[in-house]
Parts: sequence; structure tokens; C-alpha cells
Amino acid sequence: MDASATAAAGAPAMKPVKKQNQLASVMKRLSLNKSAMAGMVIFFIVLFFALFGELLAPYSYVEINPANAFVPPSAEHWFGTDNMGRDVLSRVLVGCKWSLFIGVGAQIIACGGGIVLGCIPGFFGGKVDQVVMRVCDVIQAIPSVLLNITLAGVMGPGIFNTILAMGLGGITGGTRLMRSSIMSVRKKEYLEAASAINCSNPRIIVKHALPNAFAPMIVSFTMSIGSGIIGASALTYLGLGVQAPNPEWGALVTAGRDYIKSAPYLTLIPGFCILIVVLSLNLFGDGLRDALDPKLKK
Amino acid sequence: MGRYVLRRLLLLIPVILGVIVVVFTLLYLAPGDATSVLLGNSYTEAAAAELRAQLGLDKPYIVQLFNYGSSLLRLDFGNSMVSGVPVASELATRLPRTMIIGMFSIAITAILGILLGVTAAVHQNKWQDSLSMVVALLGTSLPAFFFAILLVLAFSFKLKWLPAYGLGGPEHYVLPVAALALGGIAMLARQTRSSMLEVINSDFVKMAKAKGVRRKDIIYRHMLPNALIPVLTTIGMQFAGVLGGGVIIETVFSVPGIGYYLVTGCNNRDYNVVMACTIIISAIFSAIMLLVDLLMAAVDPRIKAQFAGARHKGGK
Repeated sequence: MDASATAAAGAPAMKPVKKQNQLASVMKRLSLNKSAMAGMVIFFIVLFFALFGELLAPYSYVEINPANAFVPPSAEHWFGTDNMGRDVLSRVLVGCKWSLFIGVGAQIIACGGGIVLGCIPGFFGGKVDQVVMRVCDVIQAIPSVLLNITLAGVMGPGIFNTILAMGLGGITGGTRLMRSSIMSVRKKEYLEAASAINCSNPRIIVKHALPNAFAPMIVSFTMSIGSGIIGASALTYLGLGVQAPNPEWGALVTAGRDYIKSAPYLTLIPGFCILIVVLSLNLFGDGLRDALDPKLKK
Repeated sequence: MGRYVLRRLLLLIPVILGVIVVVFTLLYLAPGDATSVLLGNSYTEAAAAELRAQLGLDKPYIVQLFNYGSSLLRLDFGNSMVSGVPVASELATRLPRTMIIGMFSIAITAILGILLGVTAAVHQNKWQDSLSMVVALLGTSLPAFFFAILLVLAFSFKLKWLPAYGLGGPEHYVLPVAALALGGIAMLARQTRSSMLEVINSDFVKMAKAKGVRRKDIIYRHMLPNALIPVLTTIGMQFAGVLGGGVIIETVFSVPGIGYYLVTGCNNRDYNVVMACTIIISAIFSAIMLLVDLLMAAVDPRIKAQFAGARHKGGK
């Protein structure tokens, strides 16, 4: 009787334990990866500055003080002041949130669009698949930077247009990724089982196919935030992205370019900030991919 | 092989037509039209309407698209709305510069990227590997335009070795090519490393070692050719990076190529220029990707067979 009681108690507990194990093993593999952890720590520090940068900023980031222009980095102004006497440290701190916002916002559009557009052809195949994929072929024949530039040129400058340009430009990539990973689970038994118990197709896609095909999307999301930040700052540099008063880092690099000979720190500091954020995301994304990829399990 | 080439060539046509439709539609939907640019200060509603009629901008979308498409067939890209110069003649003078920068940076990307990746793979987990991968990681994380600024700062302003902008002798191409190649080198090094690591423990490598083949020959004659397909794919994809990224680099260095023309066009809302540049660069990119695919089919018969199989089944 004792044995059957433990078995009965054990059986319902089995499922959640197994589920946790999978997540736990991913987390464990991730936590063993030193560079991924370093990336995550750096990213959390950046995130902290993004959230509280405005409170931490020692000076106002917009206050113009021509008498105080081009002060090189010193105890009073750690990162110096720009051509209008604004404190660069304060501008970098406030700009942090905008740079992250653009990167994340663009990826939400790209991945969100990709999930919706990729699930349907991946799941149903046939004509729908043909149509969506041929449209993707055409759009991907335009190099992505070029597509972003053209979209930004069409929509005009401004922070939300930049996010939209970067996001829309990334949808085809997300679609392809989602389609192929949905296709990889389409023939699995659990989908067959779900349709056997009369689940509707939308329910099968959302509840069964999508969660099992989501890992590549998470990796792509993480890695692409970095390239989104780079892409957006490049658009700003070309005059098609974020406009002047906003201290987004790409805009800071662009504004500093005119004074590169006399005050190189105006360009170098925000540029290295971009480098650090993207580096941290790439490190973390690499680690995440290795942790989620069963092929690399040792 | 001949039929395969022909089929792939024919498939290029709908893609390029599709690009024309997409780009035209994007610019058709853009807020504001050319009249405000053309008329400038003398803009009135009446004058704008007259100009629209004159340019055919009042016609329905489908008619305008057809007109644009048929003028493209005669290689007529219209006139620049700002300068009035035919876009086609501008393209003809600018295209070679863009292509020179692009081709050189692809060549450098291929050589350095593969070398770096091979070095990393054969010295796995040693300092050479770590160093190559740190370089590759920095290369993927550094925005190209910022790297270009760093190069200018170092080589033009501090060392005064190379010109910072403009075009002239070969020395003007050094920095743009270097700036453009960095991202590709980084990507290719990572790809080469991982595909080399996949073959490093395979039987044919062990066999070659057992036969006493020289280490250099094992690496370059046995391992690299077998690891080459994903590497070639990555090089092919780098053309997108080079042609797209070239737009940014040309702007940083004020190189009067197609990319710089496109950015000026975007900033001036000169839609004829934007359309022409986007279409031309995309067409070149598609043609290059086709060449890469054909090259791969020639290298690896499995790819051709796969393609033929997919067609017979009605495509996938």
C-alpha cells in the first residue's frame, strides 16, 4: 500500500518536474558559459542606465551653455561637454534608453510580424506557403541595409519612423526563420495528437506548434537587438533616422563627427557605448544559442 | 548543367520585376510627392496640379507603374528631380566606383575571413582561437560607420597616411574598402571556424593524418574543401552586406558612388534617384547571388540535385 501511495503521489508530480528540468538544463548550460554570463551582466548594467539614466544624469541633457563648450573630459564633466556646452555624460545616460528602445522596438515589430507571417505558411504549406515565400524572395533580393534606408527615406526621419523602418525591414527574415522552425515540428506526433482530439488549427498553432518552435526566434530576437541598434544609428548618421535634440547614441556620434579633429571624445564615447551594448547582446545571444541547440549538448 | 543555369536565369526575371513593383509601390505610398521638391518656393496648389499632369503623376497607380516599367526597359530611369540630370548617366559614372569598393572588400573579406577562421579552428581553444574570435566578435559588434570614423581618425588625422574623403588615386579606396570588409571578415571567420570544426574529427582527416599527409595539406586540401559550402554561402550573403553597407561607407568617405547618390536622393526626396539606385543595387545583388548559387552547384552536385528534386515535386 505504501508503494502504491508513493507511486500515486509521484505520478502527477512527474510532469512539472520534467518541464522544469528542460528549462533548468538550458539555464545551467547558459550559466556555465562565462562569456554569455559576462554579456548578461553588462547588458543588465546598461539596462539599469537606460531605466535610471535620467535620474543619474549630473546635468540637464538639453541645457545649452555656450560659455562652457568643448570642455574636455574632466572631474567636473567626466565625458566633457559638446559644441553647445551640454554635458556629454548626461546626454549619453539619457540616450541609452532611446538606443535600447529603438533596438527592442524594431525587433518586436520584426519578430512579431515574422511570427504571424511565418506560422501560417509553415503550418499549412501549399499555396499560402508559395505566395508568402515568393514575396519574401523578392523583398530579400533588396539588401537589408538598403531596404532600411529606402523605408526610412520614404517615411521620413523621426524616432518612431526609424523603429518602423528597421522593424518592417526585418519582417522577411523573421518570417523565414519562423516558417522553417514551424515546418520542423509540423510532422511531430504531438501535433497529430492535438488534431486527433479535435483542436482547432489556430489552437494547435498557438498552443502546440509555436511553443515548440520558438527557440530560434528567441535567439534571433536577442542577437538582432544589437544589429537593430547599429542599423538605427547608421540611419541617423545618414540623416534619415533620429533627429537632433534626441540624444540617441547614433545621433551623438553623428553630431560629434563635425568636431572629430578638435574634440574626438564627442564621437568616440557614444560610439564605444554602442559597441559595448551590441557586444554584450552578441555574447549573450551566442551563449543562448549554444544552450538551446541540442546538437551542441555534451 | 546547361538547363539548370537557364532555369535559374529565367527565375531571376520575376524576382527583379518583383523588386521593381515593391520599390515603386513604396515610393508611391510615400507621403508628399516630387512636386513640392521641384517647385520649391514657388509652390502653389495650381502649379502642383499642373506639374503632376505634366509628369503623369495624376494617373492611376497601375498606369504609372506600367509607364515606369516600360521606361526601365529602355534603360531610362527618368531625370533627377533636383538637378534634372538623367539618372542613367549618373549611374553609369557612379556604378564602377561602387563596384570597385565592393569587389575589393569582398576579396579581402574572403581571404582574411577564411584565414582567420581556419587559424581559429586548427588551434581550437588556444590563444590563436581566442584572439581570432575576439577580433570576430568586435567586428560584428562595431557599427561600420563608427569603424570608418575610427579609421579616418587614426590614418588620416593622426598618422596622415591616407586621405579622409573624396576620390582620386588608389589610396582613396584603402579606407573605404577596409571599413566595409570588417563586418564580413568577422562573420566569415566565425562561419569558417564552425564548419572547419565539424570536419576536424571526421574519418577522412584521421585517414590523411594516418597516411602521414603534411599538416598544411590536410588543412587546405582535405578539410577546407569539405567545409566550403557554408563558407561560400556566407561569402554570397556578404555581397548583401557590402552592397548595402557600401551605402553607409560611401557617405562617410564622401565617395561619389551609387550609395552616396541614394542617400542624397533620400534626403532630397528625389524619388527617381531612390528608385533607380535601389533597383540597380538589388538587381546586381540578385545576379551575384545567382552566380554564387551556380558556383556552389558546380562545386557540390548535391545542391543541384536538391533543386531539381524540389521542382519535380512542385516546389517546396
